[in-house]
This record gives sequence, C-alpha cells and structure tokens, in this order.
Amino acid sequence: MARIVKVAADQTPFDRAITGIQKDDVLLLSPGEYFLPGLDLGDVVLKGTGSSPEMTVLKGNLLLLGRYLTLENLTLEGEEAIEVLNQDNPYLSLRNCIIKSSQTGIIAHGDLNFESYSCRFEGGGLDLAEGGAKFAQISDTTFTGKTAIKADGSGQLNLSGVVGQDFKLDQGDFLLYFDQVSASEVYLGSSTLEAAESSFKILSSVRGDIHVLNSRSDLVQIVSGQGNLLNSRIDLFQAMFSDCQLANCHVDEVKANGSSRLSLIRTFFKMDLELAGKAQVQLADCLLENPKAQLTVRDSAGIRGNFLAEADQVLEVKDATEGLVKITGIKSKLV
Amino acid sequence: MTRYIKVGTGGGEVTWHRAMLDLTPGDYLMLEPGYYDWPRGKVIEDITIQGLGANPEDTRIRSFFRIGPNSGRVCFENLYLEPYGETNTIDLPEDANSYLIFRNCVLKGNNSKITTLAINGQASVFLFSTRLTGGSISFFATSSFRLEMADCDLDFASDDFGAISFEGEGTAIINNSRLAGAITSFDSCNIELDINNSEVGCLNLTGRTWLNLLNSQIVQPEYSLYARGDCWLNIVSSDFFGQFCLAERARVLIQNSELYSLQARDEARMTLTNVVIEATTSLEGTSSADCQLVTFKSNGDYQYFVYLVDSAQLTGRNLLFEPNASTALVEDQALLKANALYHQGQPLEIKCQKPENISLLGIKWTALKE
Repeated sequence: MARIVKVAADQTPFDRAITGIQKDDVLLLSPGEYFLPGLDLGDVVLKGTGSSPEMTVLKGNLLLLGRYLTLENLTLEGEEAIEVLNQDNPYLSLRNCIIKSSQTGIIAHGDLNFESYSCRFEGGGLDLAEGGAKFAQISDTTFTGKTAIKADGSGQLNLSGVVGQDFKLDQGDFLLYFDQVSASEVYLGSSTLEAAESSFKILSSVRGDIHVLNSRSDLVQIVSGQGNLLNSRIDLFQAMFSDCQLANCHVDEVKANGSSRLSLIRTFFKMDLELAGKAQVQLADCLLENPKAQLTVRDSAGIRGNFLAEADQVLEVKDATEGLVKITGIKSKLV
Repeated sequence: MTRYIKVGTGGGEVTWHRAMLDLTPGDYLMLEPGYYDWPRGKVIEDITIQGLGANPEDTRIRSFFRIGPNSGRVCFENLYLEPYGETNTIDLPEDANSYLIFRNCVLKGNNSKITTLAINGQASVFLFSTRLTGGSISFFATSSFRLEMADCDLDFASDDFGAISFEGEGTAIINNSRLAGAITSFDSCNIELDINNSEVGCLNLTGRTWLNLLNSQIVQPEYSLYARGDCWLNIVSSDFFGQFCLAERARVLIQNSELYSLQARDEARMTLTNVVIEATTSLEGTSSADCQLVTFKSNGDYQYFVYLVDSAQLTGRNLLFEPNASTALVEDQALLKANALYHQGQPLEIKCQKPENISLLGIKWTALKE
C-alpha cells in the first residue's frame, strides 16, 4: 500500500522525505520552494498541496529513473526541468503543473509514456528525442515557447485542447490525433495526422497521410502520401505527388503538380487553381467564391468535372492545352 | 494500398450496394449525404467510413456493426449512426482486437438498457468531438480496453443504467467532455479512470478502480460519488454538487475541492487538503479522515454538521468550522483530534458522552450531553 508522506518544515522535512523515499510513496508537499540538485526520482508521486501550482515550486532538474513519476499541482523550474533516461517504457504524468525551463521542459531518451493534463509549459517544450517508442496523451495544455513538441522515433501522440507554436515531427514516424489544437506550424515527416476542429499550418509531409476535419489552416502542403480534407477552410492547398480528396472545403488557392491526383467535391474556390506537371483534377459540384478566380493548366496537367455557377460567372483559363480541360456548368474563357 | 471509394449516385461514384458487395479490408468509403443501411450480419474489418456532408447528421447509416476478428482499425467520421431497433449500434465481440475510432459523429441510442457501443474483446476506443444521445458505452467483463474521449457529449441520464460502464480491465481517459449520466464500474473491473476538465453526472465506483479526477464537476444533486471496494481516488480541483460517499476499503486523496457532503463508513480512509464541505461530514465504522485546511460547514440540511460515531477518526490541522448554529456529534469510540483556525463567534457545541475523545486546539468548544 502506498505511503502518504506529508512534507513540511514542521512535519517531515523535504531532505528527509527524499532520503527515506520508498517505492510508490505519495509526497504531499506544503506550499514553498524546494531545491532539487539533479535529483534521481522514480516510482513516486509528488503533489503540491497549495491552492494553485504556483504555490509549490521545485527548483532544479529532475531525472526520471524508474517505472513512473507523477507530478501534481506544482511548478517545476530548471534548465531541463525533467530528463527521462533511456529505460524500459517509463510513465511520466503531469497534472495541473507548470513546467518552466530555459532550454527544454522535458527531454526523453528512448521510450516514454507521457501524460499532461491541464499543464502549462513556459520556455522549453517537450523533446521526445533519440528514437524509441513514444506515446503521449496531452490535454488542456499550453506551450508558450517556440517549439512545443519535437519528436523522434515512433508512436502515437493524442492532443486535445492544446495550444502551441511549432510541432516538429519530421524526424519521426508517428500517428497524430489532434482535436481542438491550435498550432502555428506542424512539420510532418512520414507521420500521419488525423485532425479535427484545429487550426494550424501543415508544412510538409514526405510520405505520411493527412486527414483533416472541421479545421482551419493557412497552408496544407502534401508532398507525398494521401490527403483527405473535409469541411475545412484552407488558404493555400499544395499537392505535389499525392492523392487528395477535398469535400465541402473553402480554399483560397490550390496548386497541384508532379503526379498529384485531386478530387474536389463541393469545394469553394476564392482565388486560383494552378495545375502543372502531370497533375489530374476531378471536380464535382464546385463553386467559385470570387468571379476573378483563374484556372491555370500547364504541361500535361488536366482537369475535368463540373462547377455549379451562376449564369454570369466566367472562369478564366490560362495556358491550357486543348483537350486537357473539360469543365461543365460554367462559362470559361481561354486567356 | 488504401482504396478511396466515393459512394453516392452522382457521376464517378459507386452505389452503396456495389460498395458493400466489393468491400475489402483497407477501404476508405466516402459517403455522399443521404440515408444508408449497413447490411445486417455483415462484419466490418479495417474500414474507414466518412460522411461528406457539412455535418454528421447529413449522412446517416442505420446499422448494427459487428467488428470482425481480423479487424485492426475501424474508423467512422462525420456520420450519424442509428440502430436498427433494439440492438447495439456497434458490437466488438470477444474474439476481436481492434482500434475503434469515432470522429465528429453522432451515435443515437435507443434510451434503454441496450448499450450502443458494446465492447467484449480487446479494443482501443477513441471518441473525438462525438455525441452519444440516449445511448451508453459498456466495456463488459471479458474486455481489455483503452478508451480515450475528447470533446465529447454523452447524454444518457438514466437512473438505472450507466452512461459508461466498466466491467473489464483497462484504462479510460476522458478529457474536455460532458457526460450527463453516470460512470459506473463493477466488482469485476480493474481500471484506471482519468477524468480531466469535464462535467460528469455521477460516479458510481467499485472493484479495483483507480480514479484521477482533475478540474472537473460532478453535477448530480442527489449523490455525486459513491465509491466502495478497493477504489483509490485522487481528486484535484473538482467540485461535487451532491453527496460524496465512501464505503468498504475506498481510499481518497482530495485537494482544492468542494463537496456538498462527505459520508464515509467501514474502513474508508481519506486525506483532505484545502477542501470545503458545505452541508455535513459523517464518519462511521472505522473510517478516518486526515484533514488540512478543511472547512466544515452546515447549511441546515442535516441535524449535525460533523457526525462521528463507532470508531471513526477525524484528525488534522488548521481546520475551519462554520456550524451556522448547528452542532457536532462525537459518540461511541470516535475521535476528534485537530487544531482549528477559526469558527463562528460562540464556542463550538459538540454533543458527546466522552469528552476525552476530543482534542480540539485553537478554538473554544463546549460538550453537550443528552
């Protein structure tokens, strides 16, 4: 049975609690500051007992060495606040914590099962480095630094209600579930992203697939792999060598080249549709939001399908080779 | 290679009937808005079905989905799923081992004991931005599971059945969601239940349930929580609008929270920090509470605002008493040992036969005898 150890100046002092720590202890830390000179910890729960996490502050770096470490309702301050050593599948759980760091909030070498609920990372974020299998469940958490998450290796990251800037997953092979995530830029390598009700810029994808629903994005760039976007608003959609479907989307601009194949269903275009290389586009019931929108078709790219347009709407078609543009439902003018 | 198949009646689309005949594991079905019937008896294995409507209600499937034994991943997206009648909507049988994912879906139940999502085998169930109306989720005794919910709404406020029921073994993580009904665990279960930033009707826990509750509200007014068996509860910054009841060997760590009332019996043990109890605190049997910065109030609903009988123990430091003209009772072998910071005006009145069982420092108190 876990021991509950109350840590306070007039009860068990912190030094004594740490010296005599046993597996599965729960340390209840009274409000105050505690200094951690590079402390190895594992298989314990540290709980701040203040009315907010700011009232119990741990200063220094923590080294997770063991099966698990759980931190609750406290603030941790350090250069690299928590370092997880390479070991067999450890668990790190943070609840209602603030992680302040000048370099990296948490750096994990190798495997990690990570949970963060209602936390705030100030300064550094989460660095899942050096391969290994990583599983993260991050909810209701804010990252204030430039890089929120950087991950190498493989595994699954489930994010809901997360705010951050850059998510750099280009070195790994992850399955990402985003729900209500706000990110400046998401760098995807061969990872697969499944996102809903989120806002982000997806910068590139080497091989991975992207499935986006009810979201907002400045840029979705799919180099390879497959894309599926539904009920979303995108400023610029760019496909290179990919197969993509867009349905009920509002897109300012679409660019497709290489050997891309695009299927656009009930998609609203505001600006231009630019095709090159061997890109092939199939339209179904698409609409023009802006009467000045242009279609540019270069090389051996082709487009076919129908628009739903008003009688006076005209689509300007540039650079098209005869026979590669077969559009019905709208008047078109070759420029 | 995934086959993307557009299903509908327009040009370049295949019909639902054709899609069902040709269905192959790995297919990604994209359904034009409309009504569809999943063929009865047809198992589903490694299929993604996505509705192409502007919202889930645009694309409806009448269904009894049975997950096949070879399935690794079944995904539903932007769909409205309704049962044929008195059946489950989705059944994951004992021999199955699959991911089951719902994103932006509505699952309609039939407001009865028939569970909407029945899990008997091994499953990783993910629900994102999904609504379950009039239906429930059950993890049966043979199940081994992981449940993750985010941004979901379950609306099944039944007196008889839980909105989510756990009998098997596994982990359930509920984030940023609202559950109008009860979360129930049974004697046979062995689960970790993490609830974060959510609103739940009530928690009815037993077996080996390990609960982590953070930043949540348990809103049912009659009783909010009833925990017995070998439950371990870790509660931070949460509010309980109804009774908070513990029995048998339940063990609780609770801090920064508000309870309407606290009632414990048998061998229940509690550690409370920075907690406010609004109506009454009642300890019976050999239950014990170790309290720090706990406020014991009375709102007039109960005769005693602190009620200790049998061999119960209430100990602690920096306690606050707000009796509001009510009295406390310490009877039998029960102990009250604490120091107090404050109480309202007059000496605290404690009804007791054995004043020696009371050590209350820091405030004045008087013993009342019958």
